[in-house]
Order: sequence, then structure tokens, then C-alpha cells
Amino acid sequence: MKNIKIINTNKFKTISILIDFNIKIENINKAALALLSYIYLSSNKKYKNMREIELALFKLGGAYYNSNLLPYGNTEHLQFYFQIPNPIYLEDEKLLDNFLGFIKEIIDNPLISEDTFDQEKERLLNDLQSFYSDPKKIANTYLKEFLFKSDYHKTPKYGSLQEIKQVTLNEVIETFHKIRYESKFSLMVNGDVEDLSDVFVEFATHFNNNIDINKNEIYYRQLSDKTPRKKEINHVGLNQAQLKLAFNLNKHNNLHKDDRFALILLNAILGGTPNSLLFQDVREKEGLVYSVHSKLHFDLGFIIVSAILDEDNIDKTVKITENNLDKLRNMNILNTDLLTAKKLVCNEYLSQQDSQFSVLNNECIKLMFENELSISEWQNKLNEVTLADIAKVANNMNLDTKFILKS
Amino acid sequence: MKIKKYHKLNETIYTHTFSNGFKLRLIPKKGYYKTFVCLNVNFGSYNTLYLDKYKNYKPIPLGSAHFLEHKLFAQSDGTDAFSTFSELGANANAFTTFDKTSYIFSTTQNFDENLSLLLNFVNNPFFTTENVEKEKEIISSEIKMYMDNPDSYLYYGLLNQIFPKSNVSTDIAGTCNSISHITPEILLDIYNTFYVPNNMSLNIVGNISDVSAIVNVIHDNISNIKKIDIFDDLYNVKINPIKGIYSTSNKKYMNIIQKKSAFAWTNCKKGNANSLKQYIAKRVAIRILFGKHTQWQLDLLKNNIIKSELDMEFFSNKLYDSFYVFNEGSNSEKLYIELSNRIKNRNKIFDELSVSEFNTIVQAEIGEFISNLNSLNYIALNDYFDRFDETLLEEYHILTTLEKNDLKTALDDFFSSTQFNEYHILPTNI
Repeated sequence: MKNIKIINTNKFKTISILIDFNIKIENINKAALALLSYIYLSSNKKYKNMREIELALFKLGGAYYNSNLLPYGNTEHLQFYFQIPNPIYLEDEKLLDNFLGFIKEIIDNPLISEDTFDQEKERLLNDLQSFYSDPKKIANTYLKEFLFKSDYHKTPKYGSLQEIKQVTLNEVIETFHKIRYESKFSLMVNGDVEDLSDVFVEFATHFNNNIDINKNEIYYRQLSDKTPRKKEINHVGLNQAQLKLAFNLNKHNNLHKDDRFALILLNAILGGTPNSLLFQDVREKEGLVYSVHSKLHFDLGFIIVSAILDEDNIDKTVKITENNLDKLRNMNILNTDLLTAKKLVCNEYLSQQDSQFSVLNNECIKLMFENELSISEWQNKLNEVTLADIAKVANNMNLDTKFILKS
Repeated sequence: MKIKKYHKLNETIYTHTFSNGFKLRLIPKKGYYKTFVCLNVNFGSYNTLYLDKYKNYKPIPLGSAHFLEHKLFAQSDGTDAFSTFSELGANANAFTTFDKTSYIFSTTQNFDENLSLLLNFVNNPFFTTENVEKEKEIISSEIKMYMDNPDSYLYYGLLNQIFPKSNVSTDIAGTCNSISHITPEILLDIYNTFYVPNNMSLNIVGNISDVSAIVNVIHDNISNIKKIDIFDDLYNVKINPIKGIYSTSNKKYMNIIQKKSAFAWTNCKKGNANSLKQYIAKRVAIRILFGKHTQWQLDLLKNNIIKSELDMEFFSNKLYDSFYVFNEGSNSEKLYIELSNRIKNRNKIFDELSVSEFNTIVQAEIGEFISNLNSLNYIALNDYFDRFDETLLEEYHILTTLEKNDLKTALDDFFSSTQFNEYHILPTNI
């Protein structure tokens, strides 16, 4: 079956299962999907409430279950992560069968009723209010609103307060059917599952619907305006300002094949590691900040630089960031900097292979793009990148939005 | 070198104490790419005294342990160890808690070189007026960043109620004022007081093929560092909580949307409770009493007293144990009453707990413990050895032999002499 990946290994002491439902954003109501993900964690037709789900997990030998929304470019993923200790440690032969039964029950039968709808809506609104007490999250929320031109991407992951207040019970029920029966299904398994392939293939048959998403439609891209956009918002009582610089990768619509590794390294050199130009120049040499870093949002087509700093230090930090990007554009950095970045990125990539969740998540992305690079192939692609490759992608990106949250 | 095998868990732990008192714990993990290393120094923000070069006791400026942690990465050749770790392909970091300072790195390459670097930079301080003054700017920025975080404020506000005007009640990084008094001379004296091999330990977990080679690397780097006596007075830290009074006076206004509250039941009587079994028994008992699986917590949700899963933690360090509960929303007074009643009725609740329910919960604890053994970070950062002289893997044996009465006794021991404190953060528009 196409959308299944089973990795047999005795490296970990657990069996983990990641189930992914992937749907295009134009087919989904964001707030309804958020509410559905909340209901999934708290209510089920068999396990009526949070307590009964917890007791079921206890009976499965301390199993773990979580569901999470993962927006990725022009798609949404509703993911379910399940984990049990390897049955050999608990001497329970029925554990795996019971576990698979639990998973089917959880995914097929969320309890979507007026009661659970009202209860989870209130909980989601409460969580969002809590979310808005953290200046970092406030700054990220405002940035999204100003940065993105698509209405869907302008609002937070769980939708805006207004969208959540307006969502109806019927919309949540409709969303459940879309997710369960009209979205792309993938199953990833990792653990000591030798000779169990048939069991998991049959298990997957229960969910599979042969729905696919064109991999070329996954990335979100928007073109920059001619001049960078600037926005400042006042937030009373802040001791430090939050600076966000969003750099648009706008000309790189097909980068996932060719320039992806150059961008990963560009980000690592600019602000993605403790050895980055920004960390060294802004923090260590100038002492302007405690926190400064950059993050590559490949699915959205941006690199975002974030710094938390005194307002007086903003202009200098912006200038150092632009100067460092110019250095990358002009190949004015040392080959040893590139070599160090490669080592750090490689270290991070290999370290991910030591986390069962990361392994499954990476497999999910591979299935999404039908990309089957092995670990060594991945390392080779990274090591082939030159300073000229990085200069090329750096020259094609530009400052799109400068956002400041300050007192 | 001592070797202990845990056959049921398929794990082996190697332990060794070098002649200068430096302790090593090592757990190989087959099939892993990464090795995770954590060097602990038995010195944290609660320590109040150091010895100056004339061997006089002097008060430690608040935030010094954290400042030292930052500045130790500076090297005499003008580089910093952070960059050197990066050049060697390792991810390095450090952190300070109330009772220890930890230096960590994880790597999938150049392990021996990275290990030597760690041991070298921690044992070769280089403080100058210039690099100390620059660090004050960076740490001031860090302190101000946490001051903008209501959750951080809530936590330290609560600690300030429990241990008023103590090192524990202040941000581990200190205050902008307190760190302004730190000089290279003070840092060096503090360093010389606490950073001695017999006050340090090293945990290594992960991709290890040759244990004796690692021991040799460590020996080559630290064998010339002499053991120095650590005076008990330096650890004679007494933190006495004041008796809390339930009122709304313990509060601060911030620019937030809804009220945040924190409650703590704290016990400073360590005594015979200072064993791993006691600690685990208390942790499990707290879960049984207040956990997500209880009808009690479900009723709190149904009655709108809490909006989501109860945010609680059983915190334990060398000085005190605390049961913390955090909540958001306007029903904190009702929540306090419910928590208090639950604590009062604890013996009855345990008496009514069936053997089957107890076994299910303990079995789940065992399963969760086994699952945690996947994580190198979790194993390497575990502090059972330094606190209880036990390995993390002993938890398995303790969990499999726990009895209901152990939990009941542990809980009674904890709550019979706790002090209650609370702290609230309110929206500015209230």
C-alpha cells in the first residue's frame, strides 16, 4: 500500500504509530478543525471523557496518545501519535491487539455532541486567551496577520477568537467526515514489529481511502511587494521589544528539489545555530540581545529572524542582519563557516533518527513528497552545497516585512 | 569501574569515581547515532556563601551561579567554547538550577574531542573585566525577557511567597542590580570554591563503543586536578517558608487577558524522606490523588472550576518538596477549596482505592518509565545519582515493589507538615 511505512527496529523500547490525515486548506474550516482536534483528545463514544481515555491508556501499560494540528503550506494535517511500551517488557501478549483496537475506536468515534462541542469550544477559547499572555506568541500572531496575503494563513493555527466563536456543531461534524473520509491518509510505524507487516497493512486498510494530494500544490508562496512592509504595535508593559524580520523566498517555487539544502545551510549560517553570524555578531560581539535566531519556514516560503531586545538596539540589529545577508549574497564568508554549518545540520539530522517521533514525522514528509532519500543520500546532498549555491538562493530572497512589538 | 546489568530492561550502567573524587556514570545505547553528555557541578542559585582567596566566607551576589555558567565558555585565546563545539559538529548548552549547574553537549561525530573540550573549558576559567561587563548586558536582556513572561513571573512570585527574600525566590539569573556587582575576582573565587573535581559528576549516554577509551580521555583531562575539601558550611542552606495566609494580597497586575493563579504546598523537612523510594512514592501518590484519571478532576472540569487538565507538578530537590498547581481563569478560590478538601480526605481516598486500581496505575507508571528510556536527554539529565546515590534504572525495581501503604505513608509524611502559599497575576483592566 502506497501510504504506509513500517520500520522494524529494536533500538527503541516502544512501538510508535503516527497516523496522518492531510487535506488542502481550501477544503477545510480552520476553527472547526481545531475544535475537532480538541474533541478527539477529550471525548469518544466508547471512552466518554478525558478520564476514561486516561484509564484506557493506563490499561494499555502506560500508553501515550496525542492528536495535533500541523499546518504545512497549503495543507492541514490532523495527526494522531500513539505509543506503547514494547509488550516484551510488560509480558502482555494481548497488548498490541488491544492497542490497535483502541486506535480504531479513537479515530473512528469521537463524541461530537452539543455538550462536547460547547465544552471544547470554551476550552479552546480559554487556551487562546492564555496564548495571548506571552509576548513572543503575541508578536508571532501579529506578524502572521501582516505578513501573509492569504486569509487562511493570516490567522493563528487554531483560528482567530472570532472564527472559533462563530463555528457551529454542524461544521465540526462536517469537518470530521472530510478528515476521516475525504483526506489523504498515511500510516507510519516504528518499533520491534518483525513479522507484523500484515497486521499493520490490514490495520491501514481500515482507514485508507486512496485520496492523494498533488505534491506540487503543497507549498504556499506569495510574491513580495516592491518595498518592504513595516509595522509596529504597542503592547503596554513590555520590558523588551520583539523584532521580527521576514525574508521572502519568493522566486523559489520549486525549491524542494534543487535548492532546499542550500536554504537549510543559509539559515544555519545566518541564525539557525549557536555558531551563526547573528548569534556571534548581535549577541556575542555587540551584546545587543540575549535571544536572536532565524528559522526556515520552507512550506511557507520565508526565513524569519526573531530577536528580543531593548528598543534602542533594534536599528543596529536590523543593520547587522542585512549586512550578514549581504555577506552570504556576495560569498563573503569563509568556507570553514560553511563546513561548520554542514556539521551542525548533519548532527541535528542524525540526532532526529534517535527520536521515534521525529523518525515517523520525517517519514510522513517523505511520503508527502514521494521522496525516499536514505540517510547517506541526504548527507551527500547536504555536503554537495557550495558557497555559490548559497549565494544564489540568498540573492533571490528579500526583506518582505519588518514587525516590532514594543511598549 | 563498577558494572551493573539490568537484564529485564536490557540496559547496563558503568560507574567510576576517579582518585580526585570526580564521578562518572555511563550508559551505552545500542543503535543510537547520538551521544549525550552532561557535566554537573553541585552548585546552584540557592548557595549563599563562597570562600574568598583569604578563606573568608563572603555572600554570593544573586545570579552568580548562572553568570559563571555563561562566562565559563570564554577561552583565554579569545574564542569561546560554544564556537569550538560547533566546529566539532556538536550541539552544546548549559543551564543553572537552584541546586546545580550543568554543561551539556550532544554529538554524532568527534566524540573524544568534544569530551576533552568540555572537561577543558569547565576546568580553565578565563574572566576579564571586558568579557564580564559585556556579559552583564546579555544577561540583563535575558532577565528582562523573563520579566515579560507572565508564567515566569507567576512562578517566581509564588517562590517569593514561600521563601521570601531568599536566593530561591529570585530569578536564577539574578536581578539587573545584583549582577552589576559581579566582578572577575568574585567569579574566580566562587569558581575556586565550588568547581572542584570532588564536587562534579559526568553522565554519558548513547552511542558508546569503548567504555575504557572514554575513561582514558577523562583521566587524561582531569587527573592533574586535585581534590579540595568542600566545607559543609557552604551547603548549610536553610530555607524556611513563612506560613501562608489565603488572601488575594499576593498578586501582581500585568497586561494579560485572564487571571493566572499558582498554589504550593511545600515541605522543607527532608530527613528520612530523602530516599529514592520516598520520592517515587510521593510522586505516584500525588498522581493517584489528583490525576487526570480521577472522578474528582473530571468533576472540576464539569463544574467549570478548571477549563482544561489540571496543571500540577510534584517538585523535589535537595532542599524541599513542593506540590504546585497552576490555573487560569476566575475560579481559583473554588479550586483552592477543592484541593484542600482533597488533601484532607487523602487517607479515606487511599483506603477506598482497590488493589486492581492501584496495580493498573503502577503498571502504567512502569510502562511510562520504560518509554522514557528511549530518550538520551532524559537519562543523562536525571539527578537520582547526585541526590540519592541511586541510578535511574533503580526506579524500575522500586515501582515493581511499591505497595499501597508505601504511597499512603509517603503522602501523609509530605502533607502533614506542608505550608501553603499562593500567588496570582491579574489583568490590568480588573
